[in-house]
Formats: sequence, C-alpha cells, structure tokens
Amino acid sequence: MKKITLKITINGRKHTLRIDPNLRLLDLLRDELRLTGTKEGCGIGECGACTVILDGRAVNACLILAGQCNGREVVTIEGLTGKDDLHPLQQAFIDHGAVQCGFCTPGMIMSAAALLDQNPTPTEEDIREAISGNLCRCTGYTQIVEAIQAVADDN
Amino acid sequence: MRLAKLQRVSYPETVAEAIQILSDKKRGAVALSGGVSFVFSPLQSVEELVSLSRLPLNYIKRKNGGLRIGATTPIADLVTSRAVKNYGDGILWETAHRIGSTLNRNLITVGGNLVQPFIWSDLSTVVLALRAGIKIQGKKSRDLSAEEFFTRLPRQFLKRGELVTEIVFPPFPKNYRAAYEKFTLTENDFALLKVAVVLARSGRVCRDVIIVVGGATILPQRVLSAEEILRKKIGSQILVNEASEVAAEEIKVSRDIRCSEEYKRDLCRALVRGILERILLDQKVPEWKLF
Ligand SMILES: Cc1cc2nc3c(=O)[nH]c(=O)nc-3n(C[C@H](O)[C@H](O)[C@H](O)COP(=O)(O)OP(=O)(O)OC[C@H]3O[C@@H](n4cnc5c(N)ncnc54)[C@H](O)[C@@H]3O)c2cc1C
Ligand code: FES
Ligand code: FES
Repeated sequence: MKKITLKITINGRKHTLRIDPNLRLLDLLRDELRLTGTKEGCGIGECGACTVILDGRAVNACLILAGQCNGREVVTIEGLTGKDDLHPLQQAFIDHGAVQCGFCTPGMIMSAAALLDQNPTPTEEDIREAISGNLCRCTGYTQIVEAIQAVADDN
Repeated sequence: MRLAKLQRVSYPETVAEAIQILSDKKRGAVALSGGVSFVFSPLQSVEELVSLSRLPLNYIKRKNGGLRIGATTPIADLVTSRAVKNYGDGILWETAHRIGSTLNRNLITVGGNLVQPFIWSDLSTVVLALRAGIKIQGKKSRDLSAEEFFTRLPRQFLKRGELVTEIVFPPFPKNYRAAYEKFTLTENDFALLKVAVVLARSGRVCRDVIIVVGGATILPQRVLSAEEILRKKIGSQILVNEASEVAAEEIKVSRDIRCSEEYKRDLCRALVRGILERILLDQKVPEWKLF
C-alpha cells in the first residue's frame, strides 16, 4: 500500500509522518508512536477506551482515520500535563478511588478534560453526559463522577 | 482489511474542488465527512477519500424563522446551538441530543448521517417530519424536498460528484407542535424504532399533521393513513388511539435481528399514541408510560 504524508501535532509536538492511508488514528498513536495510554476496547465507537482530544473535542480514536487528522491537533493522556506531575483530574481519580482495573481511566479522563476545558463548572448532569460514551465495567461510575466534580469545584 | 485499496486522502478547500475530484471516474474517490460509517462499511474498492472537513459547510444559520445547517456540521454543534434548541419545539435538538454518545456526536456530521441512513439513524425521521429541503451540489445544483430525498437510499440516486451541502429547515409557525421519541434498550443504544410527529393546531383541532416512523425500514416512512384520521378533526383519545392503531398496522417492517416485526408494531403504536397524547391532547405522558 502506497504511503501518504501526514502532518499532525500530537501532545504539542509537530510530526510529519509517512503512514498507510487506511491507518486509524488509534493505531498511529499506539503502534507507530507507542503512546499506549490510549486503549482499544471495542474498536467500533462504543466503549470510549480510545478517547483522545482532537482540536478541543473528545472523540473516539478508533473511528477516525489518521489521514483525517492532517493539519490538526491531538492530545492524548500522555500529553495532558506536558510535565511529570499529575493533572488535577488524574490526582482526583486516585483520591476518590475512581480507578479499579484502570482500562477505562485514560478515556474517562480525556472526556472529562475536554468537558472542563469547555465548561469549567459543569453540573453532575453535564459530567454524566460528557462521559456517556465511556464505559467502565468496574467502578459503577459514582466515584468517577465525584472525582470530576471535585476538580470542577476547585475551578 | 478495511479500505484495502485506499491510495490517497485529499483535503479540498472549496466545494467546487471537492466536486471536481469526486466527479473524476478514474480516481475512484468517495466523500469522507465524519468518517464514522466506515467502521460499518469497509468500502474495499475506494481508492481515494475526499475529506470534507475544510469545506465552508460547518454552520448553523437562522433564516426567516427557519434554519440552514451546513452538511459538515457535527451533531454535537446542534446540541450546543441555541438556535436549534429554540427551533421546532426543540424536536431537532432532542433528536441530535440522543444520537450516539458525546464522543460519537463530536464526529458524526449532519450530511453523513442523512446520506447514509442505517436502520438506527435518527436525523432522517425528523428531517422528513419537518418538511426540510436538501441542497445538492454537483456539476449542477438541485434542491430536493426531504420526501424526494428519502424515496430511495440517497447514495443510490446521488450522481457521481454530487454533494449534499445544506439542509434547509422551513419556518415553524407558532401554532405548530412537534415531538420525537425513540426506543432504545439503553440510553446510548441504537434505536429499535423512532417516531416524529409535527402538527398544526387551532385549539384542539388538528389542522395538519405529519407522522413519520423511522427504524421499521432503513428509510423513514410517512404514515398517511394515520395522518388522515387526525387531519381537520378535533383531537380526542378515541382518534389518537385509532391513529396509532392504524400506524402500527400500516408501516412496512423489514427484518431486524434485534426484535420481531410484532414487537416493532407494538412500539410504533405506543410511540405514536404517546406523542399524540402529549402534543395534541396536552397530556403529560412521562417516558416510562409510553411503553
Ligand atoms: C457507536 C456509534 C453509535 C451511533 N449511534 C447513532 C445513533 O444513535 N443515531 C444515528 O443516527 N447515528 C448513529 N451513529 C452514526 C451512524 O451510524 C453513521 O455512522 C453516521 O451517521 C455517519 O456520519 P458521518 O458524518 O461520519 O458520515 P461518513 O461516514 O463520513 O459518510 C457516510 C456516507 O455518506 C457519504 N457522505 C458524507 N457526507 C456527504 C455529503 N455531504 N454529500 C454526499 N455524500 C456524503 C460518504 O461518502 C459515506 O458514503 C452511530 C455511530 C457509532 C459508531
Ligand atoms: S475502542 Fe474506540 S470506542 Fe471502543
Ligand atoms: S476501572 Fe475497570 S473498566 Fe473502569
């Protein structure tokens, strides 16, 4: 398969890459760039494990071709702070026991981060709506909502 | 492997440029809007994808009491738009709000959702009920009513190189009421059936009505016989029951592995009745009571 050129900014770093045209954004992140914080659960847009922020919006990286992201900006869980310290959402997830197996956690946090960027003081309903595409099989969601609410309250 | 023959992705900046690429038979190009449907249809023969993301078609405009919505507008923008919320008794907002999850809505576009309807697709039902118009641009431009647009699968009658560019929602007069309901097993699940009703009232008299059922077949269906029962009559529980009964009997139902035909007819009856009780008889019908 003939490769195409992709110019993309990921976690603030500009990349020019040669990729297979049918590569999904999720595969680019995990397999080519080794940003394995973004997970693959269902691969069909239903679980949210692959959530990243594309031009400010939380999206399913399994549903997008990398080629759709030419000239665009992606933030993954690895790029949330840009530093070694934890993002307030990551700390709040720990503090509220919102992580059990942890598979959904990166996606949950990316959805929450996109929400708080757009709406720093969301209601509980806003939070539940924002994470409505992120499935968690362990926690029952209560602690996750509390963790996000705690960060919002600090805002 | 999905899109196994894909060679190129192009990013035209104008509609004319996109049409030119899509019209070129040799390039084997297909439009890419949200791109979400490619997870369901692998498109093995496609050689080029033409991204519509840079076209100036991402907008929601108010016009003379109606709305004009560009084809590449993400569904999420409908949900955050005050103009959409205030239009048509909120029916378009309600529909958009219940499409997939927040993550999905950030990707799915209005045009993509209409051009490739699936049995669970939402917008088509409401676009038909609101008597919207569809603007199509190719070598020539043409405007179709939603009724014309949904007589066949749009991808069968759109000519090579033609793009849907805009959806035009007509003014929604003050005496009109509208509602949309869908039945899903969980909040985010693909709907088994949905119903949209738009009606004009003076007092309790139903002056005009459109009843559209989606999800019984891939394309939405108007139920003319049920409409006829209500048109120009004083709304009553007896008429509402009769109309919902007729709707349930008359709709065509295609095979769906998720539930039986009988179940879909029952859903149709319940949804049509519940909506009419709300918007024609002014009854407060909570969602749980619909079923
Ligand atoms: C998990 C999940 C849940 C979903 N839930 C729902 C739901 O509840 N309700 C619902 O309605 N939908 C739902 N969908 C979305 C639906 O199934 C389709 O995938 C979606 O509507 C496609 O829109 P798109 O913008 O991504 O279009 P694309 O996938 O980009 O395009 C679809 C088709 O239309 C063509 N096309 C696109 N735009 C144009 C245009 N402007 N002119 C001409 N041709 C064009 C493309 O070439 C392609 O063939 C869901 C999808 C997923 C993955
Ligand atoms: S892996 Fe993308 S939504 Fe499940
Ligand atoms: S913590 Fe295990 S799936 Fe959410």
